Amino acid sequence: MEPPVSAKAALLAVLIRGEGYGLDLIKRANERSNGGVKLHQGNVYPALRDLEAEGLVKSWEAEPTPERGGRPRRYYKLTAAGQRAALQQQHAVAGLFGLVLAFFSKEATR
Amino acid sequence: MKRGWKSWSWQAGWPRAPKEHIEVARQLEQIWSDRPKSDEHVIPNIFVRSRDGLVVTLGAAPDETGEFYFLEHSRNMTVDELNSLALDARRRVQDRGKAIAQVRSSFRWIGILLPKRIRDEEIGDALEDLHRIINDPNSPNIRRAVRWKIISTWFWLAWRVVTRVSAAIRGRSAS
Repeated sequence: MEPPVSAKAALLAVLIRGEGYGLDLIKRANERSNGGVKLHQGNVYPALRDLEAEGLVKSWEAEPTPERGGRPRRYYKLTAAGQRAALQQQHAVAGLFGLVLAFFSKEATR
Repeated sequence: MKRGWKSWSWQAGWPRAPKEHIEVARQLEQIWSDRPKSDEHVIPNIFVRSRDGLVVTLGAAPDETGEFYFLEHSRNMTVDELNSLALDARRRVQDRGKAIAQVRSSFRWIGILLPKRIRDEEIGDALEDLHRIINDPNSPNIRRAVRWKIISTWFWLAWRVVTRVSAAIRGRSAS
């Protein structure tokens, strides 16, 4: 079963480590989660466009390359608001993780 | 420029090499220099030496210092073997070039229905991924991987078209 992580949350977690373009972000999300989070063409691009519309990421076009049929890559980067959102998300996840640990340690001492 | 095998091969005493060796070396040089820029990984760098027979070294690549080191092996070949190697390499370049061109043109049609940004990003990334799959020597089943990538790209592009059209009908914007 895939972990219930939304594409937007996964993208924020990946983008906080540096800018990237669609294909690269799919690969990085997969590598960082040891294959647990699987972003794909169907969910990554709409999520990136949504994040941009919400002002959490900004994008720009790089030089066209021949292997892309002369099309440019579109790179994405977190805005200041995006960085805040990504950090909040990290803290929230860490908090949840702490709660789960506390629960299990209580269970163990019972 | 240090890249390529010609300058190296001339240093190895090509003027004294037999005529047939020079002829084959020229053919290989032609194939190597004619390859499309996008297919740089299809034919690795080729070094040819004329000794007792023709010695071919494949897969040479420059390291950080700009010196060449050898990733694969050197091997003595007869002129016939080399000719067939050259023919194979040419066919491979043509086949892969043709496959990529077909994929590109198939995406072009559906791309007409989408805005430039989606075209550039989604079709561009799909083509780049296909290029990587086709040129990855460790890819276990290239044909299946390519087919799957084309089908999934077509599916998602068609989905984008449908959502955009339905959003336009309902008077809303689609992402």
